[in-house]
Amino acid sequence: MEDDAELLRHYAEDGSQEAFTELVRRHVNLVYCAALRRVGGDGHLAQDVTQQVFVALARKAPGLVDRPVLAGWLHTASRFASLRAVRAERRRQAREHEAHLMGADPQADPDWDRLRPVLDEAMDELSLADREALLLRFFEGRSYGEAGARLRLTEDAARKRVDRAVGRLRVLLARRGIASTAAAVASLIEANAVTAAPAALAASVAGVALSSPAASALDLLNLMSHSKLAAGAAAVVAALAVATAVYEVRADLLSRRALEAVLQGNRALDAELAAAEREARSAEGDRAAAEKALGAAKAAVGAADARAASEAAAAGVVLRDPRAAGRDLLAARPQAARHLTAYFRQRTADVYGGLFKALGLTDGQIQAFEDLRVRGTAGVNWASATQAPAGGFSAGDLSAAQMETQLRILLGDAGYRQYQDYNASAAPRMLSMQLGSALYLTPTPLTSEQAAQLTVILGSSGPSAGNPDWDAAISRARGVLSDAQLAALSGLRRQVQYQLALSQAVDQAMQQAANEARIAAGIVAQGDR
Amino acid sequence: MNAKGITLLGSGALFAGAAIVAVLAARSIPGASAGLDAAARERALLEASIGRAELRTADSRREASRLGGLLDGVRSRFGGPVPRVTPADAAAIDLSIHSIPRRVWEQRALARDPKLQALCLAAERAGLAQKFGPLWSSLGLSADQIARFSEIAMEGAGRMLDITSSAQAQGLDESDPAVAGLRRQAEDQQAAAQIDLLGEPGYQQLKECERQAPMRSFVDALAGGLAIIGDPLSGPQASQLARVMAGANPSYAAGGTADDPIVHSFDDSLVAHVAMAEAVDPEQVLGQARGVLSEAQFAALRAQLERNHEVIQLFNELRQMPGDPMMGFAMWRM
Repeated sequence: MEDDAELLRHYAEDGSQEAFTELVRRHVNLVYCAALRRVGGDGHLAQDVTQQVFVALARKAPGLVDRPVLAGWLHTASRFASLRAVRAERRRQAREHEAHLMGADPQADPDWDRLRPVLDEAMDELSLADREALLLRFFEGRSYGEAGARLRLTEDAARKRVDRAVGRLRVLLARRGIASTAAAVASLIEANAVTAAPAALAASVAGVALSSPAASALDLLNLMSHSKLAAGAAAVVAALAVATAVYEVRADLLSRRALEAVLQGNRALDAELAAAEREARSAEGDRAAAEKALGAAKAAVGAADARAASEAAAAGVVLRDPRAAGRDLLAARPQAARHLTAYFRQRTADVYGGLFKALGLTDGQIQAFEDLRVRGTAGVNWASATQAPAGGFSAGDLSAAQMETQLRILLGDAGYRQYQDYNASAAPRMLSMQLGSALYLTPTPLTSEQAAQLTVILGSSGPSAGNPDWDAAISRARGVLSDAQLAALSGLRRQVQYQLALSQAVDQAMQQAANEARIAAGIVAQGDR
Repeated sequence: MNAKGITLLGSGALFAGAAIVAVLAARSIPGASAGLDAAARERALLEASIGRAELRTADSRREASRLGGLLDGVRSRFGGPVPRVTPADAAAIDLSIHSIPRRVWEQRALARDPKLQALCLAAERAGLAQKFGPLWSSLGLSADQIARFSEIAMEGAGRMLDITSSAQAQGLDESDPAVAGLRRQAEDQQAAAQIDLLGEPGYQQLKECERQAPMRSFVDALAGGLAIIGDPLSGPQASQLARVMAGANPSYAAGGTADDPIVHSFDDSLVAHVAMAEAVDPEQVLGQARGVLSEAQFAALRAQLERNHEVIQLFNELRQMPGDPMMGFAMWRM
């Protein structure tokens, strides 16, 4: 049996109507039932939505042929189509001032009645992988093995993913007031999620989705061919003329109706846009007001702290050494000390991973290296007007000099020199990483050997390691990088230079604003600037 | 007249009548078709505008709610309303200057410096391939289409800079209706050009790509580190990882733009002493990424997420300390 992707490819590439009809047959229940749940049980509306989804599938088929799980796309498409349909339905109801109670199926399980309205909303919050797993298992009724094959997982992994997805769905449902076990949720969905769509729907959906101008022309040719066989020459010519006339008139009528329908839809969308714009402006206004209020509040906090500091100084309060104060604080909150240490250990491993590899350190040496770096560097800058002057506090017990001495002992003289060089090349290495980011998806990604050579070139093309002499660096990199890579390096140069220029401009603007405010407040006379 | 003659005459008359009707109908169809095309194009634009407005609403509400939480935190420090700052207080002047978000200062600096604007546009153009390369591949754009895409993006960026400059020159705030209107107009113009180029489904993919952009930036940065240690991410791995991360972010799941998954600054939370939360659930991301990445790639991702987790936990611990120990909290020496 052909899978969905093959069927879709047949339809997209060869226009195979059989393939499309088979796709509709396979998925019509899934789409209809998802639509039914989303539109609140209105069967007619669900049929319309189903039709729209498959029309969209026919239109977008060429772009979807590579999707491993078509059900995911159909589920999402049914969501959007249902939202549009429900919005349109609400507008209609508002116009007609009719209260319309969405009917629930009296035969349904009472728990399913509660689950049904929120199921798809909760499904939407799942990740794509979870959603696809659930769709394949429960909505398409596939075995774990089949679902695994679609998801490119083993049967066991598919089972685990489905179990996890059910667990997450259960949590999402609980947030909506539906408390249940994962097993109960799974069995409810399995039993109720997909019921049969109306018998004629598949045929009608396939018919509508496939009724493109191309298909109509084909029908006409068929008709002409039959006519030729059946009638004499004159009757055939007349019949052709009549058929053509009927076709043209029908096409004209259809075009006009379609135009009117689209224009009417556009008028409704216009109104919807105006409302959406109003809502967006109001939300943006709230955001701007909150931003302003917070700015004022931050200034007030700063002013209050500054006042407290000045009062403490006037009263002759001797503030404690910040390191000592910090150590006390960390001792009082061992959990904070643990997080601080863990952060610096991670950071050390990240920053020095390349060095570990280059020096061929053992796991034990790496551990010792990380310990020394954490003991010598882990700390936090802080400033408190009321407890200590600005400074830092450390979670470690080694001074910088002690740390360096012990690192030299650990790495040996040659290793220690490499460590120093490694530290000195941090900024150009960062630039190489940025170039690696820019190139990794291109046909000419940066190799690790090129990155190492480029780091050396950038580091030795002064004046600044973070912003080297770019002309010199690019010229020297010609022997190392391809033309495309050099072009990307030039792009990186533009980005770095812009960031530096912007940063300088911002600092200047802030300084200027502060000077102007001081002059306005009479704190500094204009001549003192 | 025999039967054959009658048939011929009848057929002739029928032919003539039918031909006239067919010609009239056929002449009318192109007009209707053109109208239909124009109306369909208008519908696509309207839907794109509605989508953008809904996204702005979602993002603004989320940000307003976050800022509101921070403001409540500051108020609770004062035990009531926030006192007014006297303008003569030099420290307060500095703090009020620094309390304006840096992005606002950047906009101001950009708006009044044409040289900086030129640098900005050049940097923007240089970054297009990295930002949209995966989208271009996924849509199968030709070199000409990519050039047109870039042209549209740069025209849009240029128009936005012009609007900011003009508004600032006239002393108008960004929230001024005239400025907002000009921005909407520029966005509509750009969307129309993008829909023309990419078609409606392609435009939707572009919007999706923009919603995922913060996750994509994170993945790109991770890929840069992996590239230089010789274990690069492939295109499908990068796309899948960005999707996994976006899926684990509540703002994205609620229809807004994804949050930056890594904390870069504590400033606001610090002043307000408000607890911080992670933008993505690391367990969820790692659980889903395990099947996508190699061992070394997975380790690099885990290290990033765990480091982020540790620093947020550290902040949340320190903020509970008695007194006011954290006005200038920042990681130290590394």
